[in-house]
Amino acid sequence: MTEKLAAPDVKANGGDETLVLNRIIKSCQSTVGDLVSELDGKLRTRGFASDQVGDSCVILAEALNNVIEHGYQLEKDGDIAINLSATKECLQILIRDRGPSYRVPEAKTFTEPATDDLEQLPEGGFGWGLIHTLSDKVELRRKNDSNYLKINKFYQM
Amino acid sequence: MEFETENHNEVLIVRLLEPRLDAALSVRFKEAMREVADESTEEIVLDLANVTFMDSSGLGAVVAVMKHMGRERVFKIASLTPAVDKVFKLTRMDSVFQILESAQDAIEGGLQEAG
Repeated sequence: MTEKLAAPDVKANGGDETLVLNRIIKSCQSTVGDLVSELDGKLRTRGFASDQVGDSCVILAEALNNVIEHGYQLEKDGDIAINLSATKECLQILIRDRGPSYRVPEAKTFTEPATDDLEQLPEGGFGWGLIHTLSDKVELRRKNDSNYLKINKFYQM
Repeated sequence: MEFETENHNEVLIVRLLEPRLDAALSVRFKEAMREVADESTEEIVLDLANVTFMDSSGLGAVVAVMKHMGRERVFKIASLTPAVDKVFKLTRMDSVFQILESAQDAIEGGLQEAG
């Protein structure tokens, strides 16, 4: 018996301008695409700048793909609860999954890759780096057999 | 995965007709591009004008295509939208690709060299 994953509450700060998205999705990559497209549309409708929209979508996609690929190991029936809120000042994404525990790699800056050996060029491992670069705070805790990932991004005014 | 190809003498333009180059598409994209690369001998220019979102899996797939083509073949990418351009720049992978403003530049460049 697995306890159903409930979407925790995100308290909106009030006001019509707060975008709130609460979803539970299956750990499937195409579902991530649909959700990211939805976020893109909703942020644009609310007048967010293009780069804010783009950054927010990359953060959400990378965080979810990480859970799917490394947490649920590409199993498609894992539940992922997402609570997202966005105001003109800040984006907050909460992601909860029941996959194995994982750790967030330390933030490090990207360095220019050596190009003398084509075969050595990285084809992956960019995800966390993008999340760290594009966001301001990343926290992860493990509780009740679930991972709780919280990401905050403060939009430059 | 949808794409179209345009042949200009020594340059094959591959135009991706998808709005998203992401984790859901990356495997199919790599397979299709490898097939295109193996069936041609020309320089390949990947036109990403229609792609408005690319994640790290998409980026990895583009790197994989370049690696598949090897040093002997010319592979360029063109027409990056701002969001896609940003992912290349943030990861510093812009430094390993030949990036064109537009795919047309590859054809015109070729003509000038020949002319």
